[in-house]
Amino acid sequence: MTQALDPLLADDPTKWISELPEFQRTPLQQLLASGLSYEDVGQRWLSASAANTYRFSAARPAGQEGAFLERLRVEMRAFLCGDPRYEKERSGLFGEKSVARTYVVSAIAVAVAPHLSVASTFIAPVVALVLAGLGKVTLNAWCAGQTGGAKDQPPPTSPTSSG
Amino acid sequence: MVDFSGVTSITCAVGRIGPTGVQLLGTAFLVNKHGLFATASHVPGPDDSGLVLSFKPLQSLNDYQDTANASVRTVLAKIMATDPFHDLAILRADIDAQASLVLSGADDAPVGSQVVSFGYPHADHGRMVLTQQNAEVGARVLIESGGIKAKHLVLNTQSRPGQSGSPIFRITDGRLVGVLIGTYAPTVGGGISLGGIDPQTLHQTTHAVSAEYLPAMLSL
Repeated sequence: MTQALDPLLADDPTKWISELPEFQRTPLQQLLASGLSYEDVGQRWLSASAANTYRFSAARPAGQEGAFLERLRVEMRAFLCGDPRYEKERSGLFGEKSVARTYVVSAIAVAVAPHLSVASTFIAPVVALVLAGLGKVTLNAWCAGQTGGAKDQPPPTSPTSSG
Repeated sequence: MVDFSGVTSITCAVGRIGPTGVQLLGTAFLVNKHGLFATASHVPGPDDSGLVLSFKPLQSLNDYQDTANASVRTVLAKIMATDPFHDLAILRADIDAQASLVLSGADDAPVGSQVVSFGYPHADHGRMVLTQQNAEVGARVLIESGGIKAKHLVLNTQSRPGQSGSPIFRITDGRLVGVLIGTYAPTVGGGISLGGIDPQTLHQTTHAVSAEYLPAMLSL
């Protein structure tokens, strides 16, 4: 069932970022090149706000909630590791023999976005960053590592941890 | 001098449907693709549930806009692309129209340039009056957001809530050079509020992000 995703996870993790649209890819790669971890860059995306600028609208960045990134990871784990809530969406993704990274990122973002009250396009780059942060691991192995006491611990997200 | 009369047909307010009706959030404008509108990303924020574009019929900017008439036509909108680093977003709505803007950027708006914006000041109080505001570029600055520096224009004018997302055109040739995002405030979120107004924002300094970041978002 997970065969479609494992080849992508076994490949170079940076491809999750390099295949994003240019306007997302360029700033993310710039921040990663400065030495920030995938997690740090994801948090920057979620909480970005122009310095010393009072914004003339009521909406606030999702990242100001602090725990948003962890909530996203929890939902991604639920999606990827077999939570019945995502059975329909997961069968669509894993029903394909091979899938493109952009399709995987989009499918996950579309599936989990309603559970986080955000637009899928807003979290898509962060989904890619989380996937890149998984490193070279099979999905079954990663999900197995998320059970029991380690259930709520995110996987390593350093760009250098992927090997 | 460019004729900006057509701006009445490409500018609208962004709002969100709530328990008491539509809460206006800011300004958006039609771009060069069918049904796509640009605004500042903080206007809709990360959530597009209940998001709408609000239109009030207006033939000319010189028409008397009836402030007692609260009826608007709303069209559901979704966030097609959002870039929080540059505070820009593209909204998609089921509207069969497109603009013919000349997309440019801050590089084409040197200090001293005369520019004009169109937006809805005080929209946060429900006031939907399309307002033209002429200004001069006072400075060009790099402002950091999340570690990414972006080109901005400092406009010598005061702006108010509701104007975020307003298009900024160069008066001489109508080029789109920026999108209004807010005003300078040295301690965002840490100040005081008097009658809902942060005194820090009461000055002649408006920030607009360069429109040069829009084409990449429209190429999806």
